[in-house]
Amino acid sequence: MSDREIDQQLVERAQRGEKRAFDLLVGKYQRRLARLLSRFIRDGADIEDVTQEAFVKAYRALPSFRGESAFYTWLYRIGINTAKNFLSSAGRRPVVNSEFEDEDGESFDLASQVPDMNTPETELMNKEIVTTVNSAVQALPEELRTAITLREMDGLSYEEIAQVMNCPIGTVRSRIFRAREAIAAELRPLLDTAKNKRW
Amino acid sequence: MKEKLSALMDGELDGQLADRTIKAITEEEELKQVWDAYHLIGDAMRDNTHVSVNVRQRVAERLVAEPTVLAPRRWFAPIRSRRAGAVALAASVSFAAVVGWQQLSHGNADSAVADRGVPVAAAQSAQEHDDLYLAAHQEMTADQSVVKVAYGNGVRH
Repeated sequence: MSDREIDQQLVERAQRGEKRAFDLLVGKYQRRLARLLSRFIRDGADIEDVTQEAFVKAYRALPSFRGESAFYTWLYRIGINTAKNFLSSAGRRPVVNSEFEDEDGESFDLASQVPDMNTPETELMNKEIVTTVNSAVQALPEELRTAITLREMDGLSYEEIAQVMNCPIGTVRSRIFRAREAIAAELRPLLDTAKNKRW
Repeated sequence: MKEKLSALMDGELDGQLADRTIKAITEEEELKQVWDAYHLIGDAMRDNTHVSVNVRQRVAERLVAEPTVLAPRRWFAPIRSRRAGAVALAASVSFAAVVGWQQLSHGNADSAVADRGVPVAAAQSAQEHDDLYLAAHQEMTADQSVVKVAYGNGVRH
């Protein structure tokens, strides 16, 4: 089942009234949407507010989502409109427009890359998460590190990874899972702390 | 189940197994947290910005106040069944074309009358006329095996 088909299933569940299914889409896309919105908005707190607002708008608009485009394309469009409205109401506007093209070839008008102005707390949390993940990846046994890197960084399928690593697909699947579990175990204390603070 | 979730995220799980895994993730809080953690790991490995963004809780709180979305069911079909729908449509059109061709090639008087929407009484009258005509010229009829069906009263002649 492709990424798009998974999203479609979750959307259909949300359309049937399962708010928890929509929650999974939020968990999956919140960082990518925030990254996209950071091309419009400089302030880190504003980026989070607009990201949140975009998801709420997307939820309200779910009945009109017809599945003609990928969910994230549709979500990104809502996010960009929300950001434009935010900038307009705040009396600000994007500095320079540029084109952003997603994986489906759909393009969006965007402001040029602007430097983030995150709070020190956000900056610290970003740094801690990235450092923890990178350290955990480096600490993995080589075959697990290679498998997770080929998957997450290079986007290879299990079949391709199996060819590269010269092992069965089932072994690839197991290695990637074990790698994720090992990294998640290192992240968990950090996420629990963060949850108590503001998550 | 966590290993299946991991494979699902990578697009390596299909069919009912994928459906069951998605259902389990939406229903079990622990799996939902695993889903979040695995996606966070991927995002952090690919890009080191905005990885601390977490609006899930705030969005969930806002959605509590929102009326539950209930969209009309299945107005868009999965990609696979769309293809099946197209095949079914093509088959229907082909069937209609064959039936139409057969009707035309046989030159059936009954169907011609029915197609024109002639009142039943008139149609029956015309049919009786045809029957008399055919009976009178039966010896000269090329195809004796043709069975005629009346549309008016369902009696086979």
